[in-house]
Amino acid sequence: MHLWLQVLVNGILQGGILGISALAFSLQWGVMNLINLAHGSFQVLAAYLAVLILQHLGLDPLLAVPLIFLVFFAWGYLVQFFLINRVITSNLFMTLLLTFGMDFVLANLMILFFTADFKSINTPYANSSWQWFGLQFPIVRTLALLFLIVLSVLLWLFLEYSRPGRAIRATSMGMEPARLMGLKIPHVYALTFALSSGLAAIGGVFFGLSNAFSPASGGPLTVGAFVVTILGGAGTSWGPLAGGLILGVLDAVGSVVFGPTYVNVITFGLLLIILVLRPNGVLGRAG
Amino acid sequence: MLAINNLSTGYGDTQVLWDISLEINEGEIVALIGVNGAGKTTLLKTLMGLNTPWSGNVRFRGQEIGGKDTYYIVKQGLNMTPQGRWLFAGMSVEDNLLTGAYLRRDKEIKQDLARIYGFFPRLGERRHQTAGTLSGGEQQMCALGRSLMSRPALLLLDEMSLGLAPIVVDMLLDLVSEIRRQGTTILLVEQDVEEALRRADRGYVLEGGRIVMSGTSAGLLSDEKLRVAYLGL
Ligand SMILES: Nc1ncnc2c1ncn2[C@@H]1O[C@H](COP(=O)(O)OP(=O)(O)OP(=O)(O)O)[C@@H](O)[C@H]1O
Ligand SMILES: [Mg+2]
Repeated sequence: MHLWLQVLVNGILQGGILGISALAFSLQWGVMNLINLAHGSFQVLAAYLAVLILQHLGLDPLLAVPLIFLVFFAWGYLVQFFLINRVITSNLFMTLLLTFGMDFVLANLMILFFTADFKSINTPYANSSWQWFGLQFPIVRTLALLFLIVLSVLLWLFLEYSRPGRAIRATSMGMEPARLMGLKIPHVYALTFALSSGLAAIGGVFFGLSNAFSPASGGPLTVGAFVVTILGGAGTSWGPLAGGLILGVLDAVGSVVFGPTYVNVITFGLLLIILVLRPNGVLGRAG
Repeated sequence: MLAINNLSTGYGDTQVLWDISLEINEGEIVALIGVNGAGKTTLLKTLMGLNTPWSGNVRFRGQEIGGKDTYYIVKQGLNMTPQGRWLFAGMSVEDNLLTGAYLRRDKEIKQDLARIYGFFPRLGERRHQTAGTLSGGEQQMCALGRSLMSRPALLLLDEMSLGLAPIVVDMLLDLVSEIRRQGTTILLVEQDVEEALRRADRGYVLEGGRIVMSGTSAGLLSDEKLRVAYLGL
């Protein structure tokens, strides 16, 4: 009983990291119909940036989160404006190809600069847990879940009540109508990708703090975000939270049932099931 | 105010508009008449920069706007209530209206919301409702209100009355006259030729992508050919 409670806690907490990652992925998908295959590599890159900041500036990764967010916000804006915008209105295959290429380039650049070895971020709290009711709450994952909740609320407030948020929502509902309102779609798209890159980077920092990672870690992160987005629905503020919790728990249960080496088996299994059950739904706009 | 000169355009290889020349003066209501497929919507979209002109030019208040970005054109004070309404179906009525005011930075946006709700009390009651759940008439009011939120100097109205009950159509068309009185110039595209010409000062007839007739409303309404072709008389 106690074991399963702990498994449940682990799963729910894992949902935090998955959910932050999906917050970004789902925003890109929901607003721009963009399936960003380089998503995971963005996140791994953010984890490496956290390492560099810790090493060279001595700034703790969690304290560096605002800085890392801003760096990725700016970088995301440029990537969308100068690169992805060029193909975003052509067919889906072109955007898949472009982001696949970006993923490939990023992964190899990371190997070049950081080697292919696994790294972990050494912080005093990385492996510590809080104890509540006889259960273990790993600090980093618990904070990640709190972050996910706060970020979901902030994103919702931003999209619902701010002027640029309204522009993003309008654009997601119709590109030509949005243009007619005087919106500059390339900028709206760039802002969307900037915001989601920043969110992806935050998820990447938490991922790096709680897992050993290498330049090859991007793929499973992308697949995870993909599955969470489908479970929770693309382009919604609460979907990533819901989807993250579901996948987190399923993964945790799966790793107990099948053994910890198969921790991704549920994720990939779900991906296969989803692809078989609704191959068209996946490649269209969800929800 | 608006001067279109020898404008031609189309889609892909297919030409839709040939040498369109048309003029609208400040304060006028001008009707644009033509059967299905004549090219009315194409002309309006081209004026809004949603379709690129092939040749010719468009001057609005002395500025060339032909082929410019929609952003720039809206900023100059041109707006369109599109055929089919193009509402943001998943957004609330009020958010739709506010999106219409996106380029404005002044402090009177709240006031203008109240003005729209004054025109359409039903929109006011449903301001937090999702636009997609409105009735057809209410959606058209929302679309018109959204255009007005940009405070256009010239408003292009594309088939507002399509599919709506006569009583709603009357109300909308009455409002068009009121909007003009309040200072907005109007280009009116309507299926109902007689209704349109009765409200308009002048009219143009578009046939197969060409302007084939133009004149004052009274003149057009008494024209034998037009009466036979468009009024079935
Ligand atoms: N996006 C498009 N791509 C290709 N052809 C188009 C497109 N939109 C319109 N057309 C064609 O251009 C011609 C003019 O269409 P348009 O919609 O401008 O006519 P309209 O006068 O507005 O008609 P309606 O009264 O039905 O609204 C038609 O032959 C139509 O088939
Ligand atoms: Mg039309």
